[in-house]
Amino acid sequence: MALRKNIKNLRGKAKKAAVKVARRAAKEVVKQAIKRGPKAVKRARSVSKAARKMAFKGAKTVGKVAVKAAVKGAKAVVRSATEASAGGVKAAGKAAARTAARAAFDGAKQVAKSAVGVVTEGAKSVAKTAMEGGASKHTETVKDPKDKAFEKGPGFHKQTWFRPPGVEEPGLAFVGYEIADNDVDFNQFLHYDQLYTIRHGQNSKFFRSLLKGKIVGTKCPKCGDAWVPPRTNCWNLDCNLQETDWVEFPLRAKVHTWTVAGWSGRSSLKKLPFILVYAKIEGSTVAIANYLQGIDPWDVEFDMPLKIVFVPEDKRVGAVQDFHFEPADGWKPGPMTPEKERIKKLVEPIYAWVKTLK
Amino acid sequence: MTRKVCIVGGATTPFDYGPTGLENPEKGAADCIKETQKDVPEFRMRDLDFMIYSHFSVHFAHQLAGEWIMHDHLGLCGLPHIRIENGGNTGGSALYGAALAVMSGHHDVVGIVGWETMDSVRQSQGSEFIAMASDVRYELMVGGIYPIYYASMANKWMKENKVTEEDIARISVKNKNNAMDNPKAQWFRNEHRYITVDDVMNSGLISYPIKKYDCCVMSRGVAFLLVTSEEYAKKVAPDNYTVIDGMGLSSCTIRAGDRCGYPSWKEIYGPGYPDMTEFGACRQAADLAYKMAGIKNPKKDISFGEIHDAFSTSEAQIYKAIGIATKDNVAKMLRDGETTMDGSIPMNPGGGLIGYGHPVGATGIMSTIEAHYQLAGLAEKKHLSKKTVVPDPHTAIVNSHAGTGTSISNFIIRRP
Repeated sequence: MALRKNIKNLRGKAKKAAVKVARRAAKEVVKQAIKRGPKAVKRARSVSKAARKMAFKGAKTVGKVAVKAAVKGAKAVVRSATEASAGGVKAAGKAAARTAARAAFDGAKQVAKSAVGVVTEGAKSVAKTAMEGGASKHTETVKDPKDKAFEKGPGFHKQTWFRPPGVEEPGLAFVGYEIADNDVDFNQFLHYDQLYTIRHGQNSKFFRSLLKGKIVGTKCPKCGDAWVPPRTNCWNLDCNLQETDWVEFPLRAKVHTWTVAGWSGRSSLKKLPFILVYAKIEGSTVAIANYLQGIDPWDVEFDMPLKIVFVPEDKRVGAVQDFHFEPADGWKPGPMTPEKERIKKLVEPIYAWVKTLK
Repeated sequence: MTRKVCIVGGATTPFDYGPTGLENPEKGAADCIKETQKDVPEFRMRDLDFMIYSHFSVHFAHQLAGEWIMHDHLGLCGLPHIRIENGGNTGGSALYGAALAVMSGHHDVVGIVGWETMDSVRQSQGSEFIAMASDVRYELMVGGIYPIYYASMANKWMKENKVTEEDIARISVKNKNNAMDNPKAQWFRNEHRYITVDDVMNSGLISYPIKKYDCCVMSRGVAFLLVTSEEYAKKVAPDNYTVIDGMGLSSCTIRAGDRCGYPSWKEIYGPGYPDMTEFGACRQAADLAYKMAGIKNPKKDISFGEIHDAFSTSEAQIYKAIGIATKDNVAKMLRDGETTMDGSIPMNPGGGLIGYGHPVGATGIMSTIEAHYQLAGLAEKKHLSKKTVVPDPHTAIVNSHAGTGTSISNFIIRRP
């Protein structure tokens, strides 16, 4: 009787101890999570890459601490239970230990979960801002960029990132397989992703200017042909690869041809339906492709006057999506025509479909 | 004096989109060669003295230098081999290379293996891969896929040439319905039905004026073609070889917008051409091929064609570029069905890219094979009925087309 009571006591004590350990661990972890989490989140908002790194590190630490504490608690419980179980109460002791261990692990799990929750939320909010187009872009200083011993390159010390979290470069990896219903055919899943550096070299000025909200192109000093996008050398064989001059172009253009897209690449599905125009920027010999926004898709017209509109400076990424076309001020769409009605009918299902996209 | 270049035979695997259980490309190449040997029993592997591999994208292949796998698998180590890549005109360019090799007298028996494995990524990812053949720096992130570029060009072209969406839809109807007579065609193997103009008109917007059924499909497929000297052709296939009597390869800008005011076009065809509407490289490649083959009036002198209908709109634009249609009669020509099997100049009796499929590296080879079958009297054997057999053909045009009209080749193939 006494022994049984003892065991009961012990079980209770062990449970209590385990729960206490777990709770303490939990408290500690939660404290850490709160300490680290919001900090990570806060930092994440301004520094996406670093935030992600920190957040994940935080989660890892949190998880580690929690599990460590829980295991420690469980171990202690098992130890005391085992000790107490000497003299025929082994089984009961073990049961007590098991219960205690479970409690401890449960505690640890909870802790880990809440910690991960905090961290994930932080990462998610980072993802959202980064996806929204450069809002969370941040600049980093590269301490020691590699350079050559003799012919020195330009040297790159400043990098600006707006990379969405979750874009990883794991390298080549087989990540799964499938076996056909016929039990013969076999397919394998290879994951393959990489980060490219598009080195713009002598074309750099065009992209730098986009960041400043300007359109620059080039012009041949001999024949006068001018280009946006730029050409570093004249295309006229009589000019014999004449090097061209950089010139700034006005933010005015005219539609050369157009289409209304109802399907697109993965990166622009959510923009559907959209108008894509090839337009000649005033002074340019050639036409350049970009979106026409600010009107219904069916209202676009050949030769309509356009203005070039840039996204806000903090959202610019130094690429052609920094600008788009809009109708020139004062332009009014013409009346509905059979063609416009046809386009309107064609794009109706696209609007509905895009709404279903996540 | 250059030598005559002959086509002795060739075959494709079925063109399809996985899963099919037939996905292994090197086995596909072996299958194609064995089918060729059924038509030309005297052709043996040991006869080959040069191999050209026609393959577009290592992105789709998840394999660099995939031709090395092919070549080694076929038991051909020791034989010289190269790969030719030129966007959608990869097949035509490989044929151009093979013809040069034979013409020069340096090689006698050249094998071409073309293939693509486009079902290795999701379709939307596939579209982006292909779009990487546009200028990634200035175009990729606006618009993003080829149908949009083609639609922009076609929209203006159709207005200038008074061609309607319905006129264009007839091309898809023709090619998909021709493919219903061709057991290797993707349309036959997949959707498998006859369609009407209404089906095309209601098939969902891709990019105005192009709808889903105006587009070719992504495919997996392999093709083999045997290009030889006249001496070898006469030896192994005296009754059913054909001759490449003319060929032309030309080029245009990568970005369609840069076609406005391009100086060399001004020099060749005068100011205002090709603008963003005409395929200048196609016209020039045809002019070169016609000159070589002595063709004065293409519409009269050519019996039929296998041409690059990546979009139904481009098939119509090609009619004009190769000189079988003009601004004044192209719409009427479409309405009269002049390029259907019952018309005066059938186009894509094999189904074309819209019906047969478009595994890029294999496509131009497939077009050449289909033209060869018709001229060599094999079409009846290869197709399911006489419906898609051109009656008594003597001259074919084969067209292969890349980018936004960036590289284009035309070939004139005749009975000897």
